[in-house]
Amino acid sequence: MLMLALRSLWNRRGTAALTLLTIAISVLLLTGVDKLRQDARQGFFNTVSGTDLIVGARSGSLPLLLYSVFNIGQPTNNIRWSSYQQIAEHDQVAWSIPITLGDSHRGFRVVGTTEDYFKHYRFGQQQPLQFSQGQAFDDLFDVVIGAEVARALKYELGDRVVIAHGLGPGSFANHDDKPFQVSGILQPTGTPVDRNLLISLSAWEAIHLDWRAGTRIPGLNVSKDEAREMDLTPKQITAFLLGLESRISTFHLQRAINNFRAEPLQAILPGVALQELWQVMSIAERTLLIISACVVFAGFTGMLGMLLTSLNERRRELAVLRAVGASPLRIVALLLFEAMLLTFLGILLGMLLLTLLTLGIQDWLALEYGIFLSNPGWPTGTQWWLLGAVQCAGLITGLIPAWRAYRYTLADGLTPRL
Amino acid sequence: MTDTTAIEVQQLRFGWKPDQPVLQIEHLHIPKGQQVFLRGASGSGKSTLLNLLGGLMSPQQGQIQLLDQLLNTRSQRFRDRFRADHIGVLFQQFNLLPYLNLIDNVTLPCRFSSLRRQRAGNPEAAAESLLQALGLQSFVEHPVKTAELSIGQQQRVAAARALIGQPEILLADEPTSALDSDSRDQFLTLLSQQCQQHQTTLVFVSHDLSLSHHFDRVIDLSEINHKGAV
Repeated sequence: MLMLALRSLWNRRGTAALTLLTIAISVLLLTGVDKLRQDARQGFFNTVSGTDLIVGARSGSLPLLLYSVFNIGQPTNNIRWSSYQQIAEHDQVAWSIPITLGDSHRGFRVVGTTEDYFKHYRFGQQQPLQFSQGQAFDDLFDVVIGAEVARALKYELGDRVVIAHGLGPGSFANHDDKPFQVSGILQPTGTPVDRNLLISLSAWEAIHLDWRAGTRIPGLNVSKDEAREMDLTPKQITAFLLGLESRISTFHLQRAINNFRAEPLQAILPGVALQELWQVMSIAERTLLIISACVVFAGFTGMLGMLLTSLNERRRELAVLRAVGASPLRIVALLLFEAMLLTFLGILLGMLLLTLLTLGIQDWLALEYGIFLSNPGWPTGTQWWLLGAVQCAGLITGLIPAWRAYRYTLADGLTPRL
Repeated sequence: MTDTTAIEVQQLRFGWKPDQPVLQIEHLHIPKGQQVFLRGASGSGKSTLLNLLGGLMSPQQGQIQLLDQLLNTRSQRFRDRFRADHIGVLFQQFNLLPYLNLIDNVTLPCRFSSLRRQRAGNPEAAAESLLQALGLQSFVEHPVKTAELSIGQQQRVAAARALIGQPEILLADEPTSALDSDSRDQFLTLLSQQCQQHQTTLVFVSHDLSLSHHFDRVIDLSEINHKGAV
């Protein structure tokens, strides 16, 4: 019986293949959207951990979170170095990581910071940053690069890196008089850190000695060696992350920073801001899921059409099977099996396409949009659920032609009406 | 008498609507091994009778006995099994499954009936010898696609399928209507030879009386069917 079903389906392989493809594409879309959702969420909430407060110039909590952690958007204003120092020396502050933004290298952002970045930054489940090769800054013009930067640009230890002034890949103004050298490569984290180039705040200061307001000051050329002799204490930074001695003081300190006298500052709780941001994104996420559910529906409508059309052509075939002793229930089983098999193969093909697509666009998505897709693997919790739902939808779709076939076989007997 | 009965019909009444009987047969007896030509004009209820005899439909009244089984009192499931085991069926046309090769088409009943599989011994070998006996030797040696056969050849393959595993009864619904007169006679000669050889009871339904000389007995459906004459 199984063999008969397979041969019969093979005989109609043209239309069956099209149906299979429709189902596969709808499965691809459904699981793909779900994967994107899961991975985005995962990457999202794993980006920062262990940081109690993020401090920047006063704007909104979302922009501050986006530029300081997610490499998205432009910082609105800078903070004075003296303000940073004052807050960092507060009794309740256990550690602090200053961040300066604004330069880039071939589309990747350059972050000016201190050794504390490697000591205190945590992501995921309180994991620290680790070097896969090399070490933190030793020389003034050392740069540490994230895993994705190293992979995408094929950089190795000791490679020369010229930093471009300003953000974006279209920047023409380069700090080519003061090239950097790769001193360390970080292990992959699955967070935006992978796409950063880290230099010290002093180095940041050094490459901007002869710059003002986004252009080189004419006639002023400070060489690398001259820069080493000068005072490289930063004057401004963009934002900083704070870790506190005790979580209880978080709100107290937040209020103190928000009321800071010397300049308008803003402190945000990363967890709360992440949650807020996710709320905004979840609308898009849910819309996508609904759209892909509609595509699945369209896919099964296609399968239903194919099964019903073929049923008309197959009335003779069914009458022959009846004549040689197939019971009506067997005919029903035959048609259900066909629908289930098509759905199952569609799911397999869809998952295969998802795997190939993930492998194919993983890098591009990470580079262009900062969305990190996890490596393809076995379906996870919700995906099993989705695939199960698709299989059930296949069964339900199969019931309709199966029921028609049952009625045909009873009415036709040995004489199919054609 | 019962052990020699192939088909016994008594007081049969059947109609699509209760007040419009299509068939009303007081008595019909066909002994084992007889080859019967059942003549009837189109629309006279021939196909309905075959469906009733094949156990695909149930009469509203009356008894249908095939071999030693009263069929009309049994479940659909039992009748399907019984048909698989004891009845071969030949249609007017399109008997074959296009996606199976000739041998698989002929051995199809053996998939549904273990009894016929047993009787056939080795189904493939039985199929080959039947095809040879029906003059299709060349296709055993050089297999072709089912769809490439002429209609006459297809009907002979269908006959082989109906005969494999030696069912006691063969029901044929105008299997020659699509054939020209030469191949019609050739087909009927081969069919009745095979039925004789295997002691198969043949019920051959047709409107074409010119074929009746191939058969032991001719029954006119209009004579035994008393519909409307209550």
